[in-house]
Amino acid sequence: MTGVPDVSEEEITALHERLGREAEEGGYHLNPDRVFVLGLVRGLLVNTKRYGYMSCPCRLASGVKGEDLDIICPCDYRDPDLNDYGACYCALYVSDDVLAGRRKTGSIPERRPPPGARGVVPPSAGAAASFALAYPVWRCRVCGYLCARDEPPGVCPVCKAKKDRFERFL
Amino acid sequence: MKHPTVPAGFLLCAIALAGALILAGCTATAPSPSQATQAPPVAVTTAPALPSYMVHVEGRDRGVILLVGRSTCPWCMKTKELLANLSVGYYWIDLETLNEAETAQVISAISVCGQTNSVPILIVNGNRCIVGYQEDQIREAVG
Repeated sequence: MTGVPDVSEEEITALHERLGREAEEGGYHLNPDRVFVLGLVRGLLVNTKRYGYMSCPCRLASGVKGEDLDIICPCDYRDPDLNDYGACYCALYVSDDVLAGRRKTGSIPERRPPPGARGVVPPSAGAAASFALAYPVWRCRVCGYLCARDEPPGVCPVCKAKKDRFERFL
Repeated sequence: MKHPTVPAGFLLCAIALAGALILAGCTATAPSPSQATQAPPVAVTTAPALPSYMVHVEGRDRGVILLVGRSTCPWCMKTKELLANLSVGYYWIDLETLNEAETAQVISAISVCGQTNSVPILIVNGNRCIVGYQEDQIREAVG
């Protein structure tokens, strides 16, 4: 890694505002602890400058985008962690209950599989489908949004994940 | 709760990861064969050198405690704050500052904890790994 790329306060403020806006538009919430979140945003910007993509500040990226797609923020594990623990792994995002003070967050176990076990896609409903579809169905790996079209959208309309976060579902 | 343990063979070489990295630094400074032929054998009495990226933070001696993390990870910084509040001495490795070879060396070493996905990782006296900011566990282990 050798050295931390420079990140300005203006960049941190701009990304924080964008993430907060997109989160609320999609029904998600940033952690209300502003100082803590600004630290995470700085980590996201450092990773963006270092790797070219916004990998999770609390995880160890390989530097190869294809190997790290699952930990590009928002990561593939955000929604299940929000459901089970009220926050994602790094606690950038929190659930409604945490935001409202009805639930406290604690330490969140790492859900990401070890290197040798990644990329194993569980059988989906599509595996048993034998009928013909007019269009393939694409699934956003981050939020589960489904759409039927020739190609996945450039950006998920729900969670704003980019095109490369979609997988063929049917 | 069951905690991952470091293999016994590893402990023979050094106390946990800290020791392993100290030994790595020591190996790098070993005398060359030509030097060995010119001087009579002597017992090594000096402390082995730490790898340059391994920083010792002063504090109460609670054994060999190693924290591996990233300075851009807020949970790693919270772990450092907690250790500071507990006045515990430890070794700190900031993965942000390492080159590829050093990163590979450290990640290989921390694999004894059973995972290399995320930080912070705290290794306490070679027999306990605490992954993530686990305040209660850290207090109980080193407080």
